Amino acid sequence: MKHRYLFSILLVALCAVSCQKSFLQLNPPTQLNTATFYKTANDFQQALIGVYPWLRNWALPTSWLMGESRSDNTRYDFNTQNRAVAILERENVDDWVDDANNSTTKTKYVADYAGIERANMILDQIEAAGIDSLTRNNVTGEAEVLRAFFYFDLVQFYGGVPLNLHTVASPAQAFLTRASVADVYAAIIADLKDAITRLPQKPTFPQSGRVTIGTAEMLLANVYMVQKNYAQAQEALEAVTKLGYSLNASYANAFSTTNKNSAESIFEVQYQQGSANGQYSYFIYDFIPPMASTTVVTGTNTNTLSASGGQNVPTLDLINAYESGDARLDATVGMIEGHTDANGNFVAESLKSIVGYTAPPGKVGRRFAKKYLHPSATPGQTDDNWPIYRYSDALLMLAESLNEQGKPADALPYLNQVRSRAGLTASVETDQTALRAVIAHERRIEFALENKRWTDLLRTGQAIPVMTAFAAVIKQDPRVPANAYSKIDQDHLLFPIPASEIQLNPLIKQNTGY
Amino acid sequence: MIFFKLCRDKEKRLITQQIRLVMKLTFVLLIASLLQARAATFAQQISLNENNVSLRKVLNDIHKQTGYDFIFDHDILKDIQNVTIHVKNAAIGDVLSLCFKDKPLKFHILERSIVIEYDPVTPVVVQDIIIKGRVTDPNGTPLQGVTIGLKGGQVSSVTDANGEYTITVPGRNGALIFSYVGYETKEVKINDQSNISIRLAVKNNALSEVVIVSYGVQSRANVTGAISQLSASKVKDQPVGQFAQQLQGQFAGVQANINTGKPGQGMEIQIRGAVSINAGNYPLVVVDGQPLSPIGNQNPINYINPNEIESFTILKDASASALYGSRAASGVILITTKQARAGKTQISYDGFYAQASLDRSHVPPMMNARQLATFMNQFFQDKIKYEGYINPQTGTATVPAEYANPDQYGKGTDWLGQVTRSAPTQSHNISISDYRERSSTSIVAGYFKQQGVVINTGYERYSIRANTEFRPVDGLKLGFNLAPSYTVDNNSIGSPTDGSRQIVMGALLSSPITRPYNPDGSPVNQASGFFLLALPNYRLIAENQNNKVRTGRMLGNSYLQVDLLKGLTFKTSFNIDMAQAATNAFTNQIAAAGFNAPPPRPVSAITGYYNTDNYISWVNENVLTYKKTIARDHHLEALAGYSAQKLSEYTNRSNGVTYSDASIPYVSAATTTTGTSALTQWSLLSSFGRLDYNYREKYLFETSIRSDGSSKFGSNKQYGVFPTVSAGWVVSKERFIQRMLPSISFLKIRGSYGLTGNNNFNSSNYPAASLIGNTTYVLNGALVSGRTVSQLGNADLTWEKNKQFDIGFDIGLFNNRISLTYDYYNKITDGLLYGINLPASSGFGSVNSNIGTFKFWGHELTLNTANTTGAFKWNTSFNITFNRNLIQKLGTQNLPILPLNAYSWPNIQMVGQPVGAFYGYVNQGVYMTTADFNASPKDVTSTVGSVKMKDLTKDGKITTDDRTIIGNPNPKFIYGMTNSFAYKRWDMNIVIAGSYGGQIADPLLGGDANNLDGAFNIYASNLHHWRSQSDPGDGKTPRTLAGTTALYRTFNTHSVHPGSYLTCKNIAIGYNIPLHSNKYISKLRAYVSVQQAFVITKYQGLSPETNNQGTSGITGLVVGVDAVQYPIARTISFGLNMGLF
Repeated sequence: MKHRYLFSILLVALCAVSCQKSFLQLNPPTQLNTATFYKTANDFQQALIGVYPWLRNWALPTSWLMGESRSDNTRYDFNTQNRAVAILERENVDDWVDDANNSTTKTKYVADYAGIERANMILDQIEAAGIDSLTRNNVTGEAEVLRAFFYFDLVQFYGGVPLNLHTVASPAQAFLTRASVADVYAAIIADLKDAITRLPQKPTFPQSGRVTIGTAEMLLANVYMVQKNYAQAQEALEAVTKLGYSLNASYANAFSTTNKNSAESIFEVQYQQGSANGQYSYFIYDFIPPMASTTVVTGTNTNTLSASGGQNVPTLDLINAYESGDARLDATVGMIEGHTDANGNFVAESLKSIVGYTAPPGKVGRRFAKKYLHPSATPGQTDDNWPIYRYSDALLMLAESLNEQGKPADALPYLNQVRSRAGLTASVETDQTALRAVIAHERRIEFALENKRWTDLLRTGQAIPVMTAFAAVIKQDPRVPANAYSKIDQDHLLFPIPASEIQLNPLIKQNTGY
Repeated sequence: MIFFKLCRDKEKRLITQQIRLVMKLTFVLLIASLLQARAATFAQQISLNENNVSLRKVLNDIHKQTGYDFIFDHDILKDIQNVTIHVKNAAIGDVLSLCFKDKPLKFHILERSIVIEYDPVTPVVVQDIIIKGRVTDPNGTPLQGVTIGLKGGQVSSVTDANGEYTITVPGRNGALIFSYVGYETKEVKINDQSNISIRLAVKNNALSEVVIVSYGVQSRANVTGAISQLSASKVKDQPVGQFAQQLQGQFAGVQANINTGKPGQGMEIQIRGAVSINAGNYPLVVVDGQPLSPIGNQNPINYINPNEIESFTILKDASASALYGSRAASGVILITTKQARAGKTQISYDGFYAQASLDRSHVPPMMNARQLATFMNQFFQDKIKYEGYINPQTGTATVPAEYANPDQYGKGTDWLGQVTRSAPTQSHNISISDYRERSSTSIVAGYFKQQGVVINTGYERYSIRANTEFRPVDGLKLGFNLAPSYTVDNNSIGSPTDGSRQIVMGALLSSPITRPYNPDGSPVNQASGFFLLALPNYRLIAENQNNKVRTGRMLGNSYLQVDLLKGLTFKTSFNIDMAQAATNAFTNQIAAAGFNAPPPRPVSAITGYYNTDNYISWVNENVLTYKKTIARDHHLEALAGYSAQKLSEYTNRSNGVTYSDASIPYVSAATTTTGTSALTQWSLLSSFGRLDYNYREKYLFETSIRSDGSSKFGSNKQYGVFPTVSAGWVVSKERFIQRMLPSISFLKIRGSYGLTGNNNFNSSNYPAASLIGNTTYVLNGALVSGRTVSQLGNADLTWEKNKQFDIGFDIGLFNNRISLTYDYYNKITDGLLYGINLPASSGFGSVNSNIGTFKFWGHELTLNTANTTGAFKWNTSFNITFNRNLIQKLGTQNLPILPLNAYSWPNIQMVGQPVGAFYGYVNQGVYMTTADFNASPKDVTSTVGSVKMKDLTKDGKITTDDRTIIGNPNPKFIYGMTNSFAYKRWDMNIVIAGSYGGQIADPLLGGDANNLDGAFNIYASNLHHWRSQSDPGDGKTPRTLAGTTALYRTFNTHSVHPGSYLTCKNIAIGYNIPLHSNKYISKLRAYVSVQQAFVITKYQGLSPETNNQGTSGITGLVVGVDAVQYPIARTISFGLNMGLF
C-alpha cells in the first residue's frame, strides 16, 4: 500500500517534469508573431496593407491643421464654449502659438514614423524571403514610396530628423540622433528612384488607391522642386504626363465620392463609409460649426455641440483671392446660414452659395470647406477620400519648373490647362517674375483646402512675408489672442520636435527658437 | 522492622514528597561513595516458598532474611491481592519486582531501607463513569460548542446551547480538557467528580494561536516571518459586500482603501506600500490554497461572500510569503473558509439590512446659482471691456439676460443630490456545520443586494459554499470545497459614474441655475445655461444607463491527503476557478455620458454590445510533508512540493449599431453587427521546498526555496528562483529571563531575508512576444485586410524581483494582557516591469522591459491590550505603519518617467524621489500689475492678471521645463485602531483607520473647476478673480481673458492638497437577547452599525481615500490622484445573528 502511494507521487513528478517545456511555451493563439510571419508572398502583401492605414493617422488632423490652418488660407471659428485642451492645442497651431508639448502636432511625428517602421519591417526582410520577383518588386516599390512620403512630410515640417531605415531589433537601437536635412532627402530620393525601377511602368485605370509609379514620380518631382532642382523635377513631371492622367471636366467632381481614384488622382487616402469596418472618414464634422443637429448641412443628424467643430474655416483673404467667375470658389467653400439660440449655440437653417452672399438681418452666415461635403448614409461617418496629389499638381509644378528654368512660354500650356477647366481665361504672362506669381496664385486656388498652401509658402520662400501681412489684418479682430502670430520668423517655419521625444532621447536636440 | 504511620491526604503527599526529595539526594550522594559496598550489600540471597499469602507476610519474611526495613503507608496494602512466590537465592530487587507485579505499587531501595509507594500509572480497575456539567464564559453565559476531551484519551463531547455536556470516561482518574475558540483552554482533574462545571477565561492574547501559513499551519509562537492573522468573527458586524472592506485599519503594514464607492467594487489593498510602476502590486489572494487571478480588470475578491470566511492571514515578508514566491512580491492574503467543527450540527442565520447615503459634509466647494450668475456677470462685463463681446442674441454689448441679475437666484439645483440617493442594502446568510466521525460538511448560502448611492447602480450576489471532508480510514482525507456564485453588476462595472467628465464629475460641473425638470415635470435635457459648455442633464444620463454584467463563477478545490509513514504526509490538490462574465450594454439616445452633447441624440447614436468572457484557471499542487521530533527536543518539519497552473480566457464581443429605435436593448435589434473573439493564456510551473527546525520551540529556524517558470517572459528568461531564510529566538523560554523578568510572558525576536517575484504585468499575457495584429484598408473600393506589428517583443523580459529583509519581535506582558509586535523591513525591487517609452522615431510607443530599482522600507507596530477584564471588558488593538520608498535606478540612463504633456497625469518617477511624486508648475499667484508683469518671467499666453508660475530655469520664460516636484502622495504613516467593549449581554466595536502626511492631486476636477473660460460651474473660490489692476481679486485667481486661462488649469501647486484623514470605519453595538428555552432559536444577537461614520480631513474632494490610487489598476503612475470617483456612502445597518435549533 505504502509503496503504491510513493509510486504514484513519482509518476506525477515525472509527468510534470516531462511536460514542462511545452507547458510554458505559450504564443497568443489568436494573433501572429514576428517569428512566424514575413515568410510568404501573401505575408508581405498583407504587411504592405499594414503600412497604408498610417496615412489616415497622418491625414487627421495634422495634414490640414499644419498644412492649411497654419497658412493664410484658413482659420478657426472661436469655439467659446469648448475650451478643452485638445481644442486649444489645435487653435495654437493656427495662431502660431507654438509649444513643443502640443500633443496635436506630435500626432504627425508619431504617424509618420509608425508608417516608416512598418515599411522598414518589409524592406528588411523581403530580399531574404525568397518570394517571387513580381511580388517582391511590387511590394518593395510601394513600401519605398510610402516610406519616402512619410520622410518627406517629416523633413518639411520638422527639418532633419532621425533617419531610421531598419527595424528596431532591440530597445537600444531606438535611440538615434537627428540626421541632416540633406541626408534625409538623399534617403527619400534613393527610395523613390529604386521604386520607379520596380513598380509597374503604368498605372491601371480605374486606379485601386495603391501607390503607383505616378505617385513615385510625382513625389520625386515634389522633392526636386523643394530642392530647386528644376531640371530633374521637370524630367519627373514630364514622365507623369505620359502615364495616362487627365483632368476631370468638372473641378468639383475631383472630390466626389462617386469619382474616387479617377484619372485626375495621383494619390489619395482611401476611406469608405459604413461603420461595420471602421473605414469611414470624418473630416467635414471638424470643418462645420458645432451645432445640435447637422441635418441641414450633412443630411443626417449628428449633435456636434461638444465636438471640435468650426475649424479649417476658409479666410476672407482666401475668398477674396478668387478671380470672379472662378468655378472653383463655389466648389470649394460653402455657406451655412443660421441663428444663435438661447444657450448661445449656433442653429443651422440652410445651405447657401458663397458666391455673392450677404447675411439677411438676424441671420449669420458661416463659411466651411464644402469641398469635402458629400452625403453619407450614417451620421458622423463619411465616405470622402483625402487627396494628396492630383494631376493638376503635376501640371502646375511642371509650369513652375519650366518658368524657373527661364522658359515661361513653355510653362503656359500646362498652367492654362488648369485655368480653362476652372472656367477662366488663359494666361498669356511671359515675364518670369510675374508668371511666378500667377502660378503661385493658381496653386493657392486650385489646391485650396488640400494642404498644399503651407508647404508651397515654405518652398517658394514666401511664408514670412505672406504670413506677416496676413497677421497684420487678422489681429485687428479683438478675439484673436494677443499672443497670436507674435513669432513669424525663420525659426518658426519648422515645428518643434515633440517635447516627449527629447525627454525620452537626450540625443535629440530641439529646433532653434523652441 | 520499622513502620511509619503517615498522615493522610495533603499532609501525607507533602511529607512523601519531601522524603522522596531527601531520599533522592541521599541516594545520589551514597551511590558514589558506596559503589563498592553496594555489591556486597545487595549480594544477599532470598529464598521464598509462599502460596497465596498476604504481601505483608512476604515483606516480613524478606525483612527477616535480609535485615532491610520497609517504609510504607499501611493503607496502601489494604486492597492488595495475596501473593504466590517461589524463589531461591534471588536478589532482593528481583524478588520485590515479582511480588509487586500487576500491583499498584512501586519501591525504592535506599541503603538498608525500602520505600513502598502507591503507583497510580498501573490501573487497578477500569470502570466507566459519567460526568456532567456546564461550561460558561466568565459572565456565566453558556457557551455552546465547547469541546470536552479526556486528556490522552479518545473520548470527546461538545456543549449544547445551554452550555451543558455529558461525557463518559473510563475511570475516575485523569483529566478533562475544555477548549473553545477565543478562550483559554482549561484542564480539570476528574478526581472522582461526576459534575464538573467551569468558566472559561477569554483568551487575551493571540500568541498561543495556530496560524495559517503557506501550505500549512504553524503555532504562532514558532513563526519566524512577518505574519498577521485576523479571525473573521471579529469583523463580522461590518455590513459589507466585499471582505476587503473589513480589513481596513486591521493590520499594521496593510493599507486597504476604498477608492470608489461603486457597489461591489473599488477595494485596493497594498501590503507594505507595495508599488510597482506598471506591473500589478495587488497582493496575491489565496483561498484555501488556490491563488486567484483577476478576470480582465476585475478584482477577483468581489466574488467571495465575506460570510464564508473563517480567517484572514497576511504574509508580509519574504520568508512568510516565499512559498508563493513567484507572485508574492506584493504580499499574500491567505483566506481560509469555514470548515465544520466537532460538535452538534449547527445551523445559523446572519443577516442585515442597511441604508446608505451620501456624507454631505464632504462635497467639493462648487459655486451655487447666485455665485455662478455673479461670476458669469463679471465674466461678460470683462469680455465686453477687453474683447469687444457682442451678445449674438441681442446684437449689443450687454451681459446676457441669464446672468444680468444674479440676485434673483438662491442656491439653485444641487446636481450631485440629483444623481445620488439614499440606497438600501440587504444580506442574508444561512450556515450549516455538521461534523461526524468519518465526514464533515460546512455550508454557507448567501444573498447580498446593494443599491448604489448613485442612482441606477447596484450589485447583487447569490453564493453558496459547501466544504466537505471525508475520512474513510484513519490517515486518509478527501476534501471537496465547491463555491459557486452569481453576481449581477448593474451599471457598476464599466458605467460612466467614476472618473473624468463622467456622471459624478459632470454633476459637479453642471450649472446650479438650470433646473432638472420643466414645470410640467418633463426632464430638461441640458444642464448648463447660456454660453456654458452644453452639458447633458446627468440625472437623465444616469437614469438611462443600461450596462449589466452577469458573472457566474465557481471556485472548486479537491484534495487527497494521505499519511504515508509516521510523520510523512502527502497531499495532492486540484483546484479550479472558472467564470463566465457576460456584459450586455446598451446606449440609447440619452445615455451617452462623458462630455457628450445634451440628449436626445439621433437614432444613429444608439449602440449596444454583448461581451462574454469565459475563463478557467486550474492549479495542481502536490506537497509532501515530513514531521519528526528527534531526541525529544529537536523538532523538524520538511516540505517539498510541485505545482502547475494554467489560465485560459476566451472572450467574444458583438457590437450592434444602426438601430431603428431603442425599444429592444440588445444587439439582436441592431441592423449592423460586428464581432470578434480572442483566446489568451498563461501558465506557471513551480517547485518548492521548506525546512523548519526548532529546538525546544526556543530556537527557531526556517529556510525555503521556490523556482517558478512563467510563460509570460522571454524564452531565455522564464525561470526565477526565490530562496529565503529566517530565524527566531523565543527569549521568554530562557530560564534566566523567566526569573529576572517575570512580567514578560512571551518574547520572541525574529529576522528573515529572501527573494520574491512579480509577473503580474500590464494585464497582458504575452508581454515578451512580438505580436502582429490585424489591420484593414480600402483598395479598389473594397475592404482588404493587412497585418501590422502591434507590439515590439523583448526576449529578455524576466521576473521583477524583490529582495526583502525583515526583523521584528513579539512581546507579551503581564500574562499576555499587553502584546506588541514590531517589524522593520527593507525591500529592494529590482528589474521593475515597465513598458518603457521608446522615442517615436522607432515607430513604436513602448517596449516591455525590466527597468529599475525601487527601495522600500518601513516600521510596523501592532499593540493589543486587554484594558479591563471582569464584567466590563475593553480590548484595544492599535497598529501604525511607516512606509517609505525611493526610486534608485530607472532604465539605463536614469531618465525620469514623467507626464509626456502638461495636461496628463501628474505623477513622475525620478531617481532620488519617492514613487509617484507630483510634477507640475509652482503657482505664485497672478501678475497683479503691469509693472509686475513686465518684471516677471512669462509664458507665451501670459498677460497682466493671468497666472504667474515660477521660473525655475531662470531663463525669463515659463515653459514646461519650469515644472518640478510639487508634492508627495505617500503618507508619512497610516494607522488603525479597534476598540471592543463587552458588558454582560452588550458588546460594542469601533474601528478607525487613517493616514497622515500624504498629498492628493486633483488635476481632473481641479482642471475643469478652475476653468475660467465660462464653461462650467466652478470652485466658489474663483469668484474673486482678477478683473483690473484696481480690482485684482484675491491675488490667487487670474482673469478670464480668452487665450490666457489654460495655464491656470494645467497641473500646478494649486491642485495639490493635504491628504491626511481619520475615518471612523465602523461603529457596531450588539446585544445578546436572552432566550428562555426556545425550541427553534438557540442564540439571538442583534446589532446596529454605522459604517464610514465620519471622516475628519482637510481635503475638499469627495474622498481622501482616493489618495491611495486613481482609477482602475494600481501603478505608481497614478498614485494619489483624485479621479472624481463614485462617492463613498455612510451606511447604517441593523443585523441579526441567530443560532437555530
